[in-house]
Amino acid sequence: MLPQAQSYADCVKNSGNEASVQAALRYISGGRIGNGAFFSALLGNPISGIIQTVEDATTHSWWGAGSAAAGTGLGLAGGNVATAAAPYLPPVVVGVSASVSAQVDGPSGVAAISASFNAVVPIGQIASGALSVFGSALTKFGNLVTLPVSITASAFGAITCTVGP
Amino acid sequence: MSTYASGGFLPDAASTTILVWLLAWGIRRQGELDIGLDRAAKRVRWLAVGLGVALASAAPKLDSVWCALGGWVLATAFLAWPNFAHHLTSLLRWARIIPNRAAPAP
Repeated sequence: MLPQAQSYADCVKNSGNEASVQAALRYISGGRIGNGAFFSALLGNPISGIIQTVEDATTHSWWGAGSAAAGTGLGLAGGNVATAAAPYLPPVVVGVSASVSAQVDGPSGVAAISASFNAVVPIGQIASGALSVFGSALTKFGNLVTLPVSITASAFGAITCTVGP
Repeated sequence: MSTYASGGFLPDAASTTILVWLLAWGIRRQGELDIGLDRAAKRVRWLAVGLGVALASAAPKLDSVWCALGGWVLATAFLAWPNFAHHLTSLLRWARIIPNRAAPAP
């Protein structure tokens, strides 16, 4: 069966998708990682995404089989909101305690052994630090990897689709 | 054929908006490009985002391409680039649609 001719927009969109960070992750993991809306929202190619969204609107394809709700929620949990929320996290300290008890049969009879553990976990500080590191990592990754790769791939696709392979 | 199946307008628009937002956030943060927004500008920003989301969400019922794309572009622009809200607020103040900032007490 002959491959169907695709439009210029589809050509650029597919070129951008195939050379995105998301596609690289899928390739490396053998297709196990990098699928779904979550990875599309974090690692996809924004130029291909824009083309796809415009195509969806112009073809009146409002709802698809896939759900972006999970990706949207997870995406919102990271980055901007996470870093913005970090300073406002209360310095909550949670006390964690656990006790263990056991009975052991010994030569002088049954001995009861018990131990208790107490720990103080500064939830606010840990969460704030983790979110700050996550936000910085996301910024660096976006600036150094996702954006350059996306722009390069789409620019290369635009040229290739114009002049042909 | 691409291995990336379309999820439909609304899921694709949401996914792309988040992607653009995250990338723009990185650029804004790295370049320290954000202009500080006062309370009115923040309200204008979230009002524009809300209006955009409402328009894009209503598009399937209205079956309107321009409503969908207009709403999506509006929401994405004001979400990803808050400086638009600063400029729009200045414009609204210049047109006397919203009151000017109160002068600081001497």
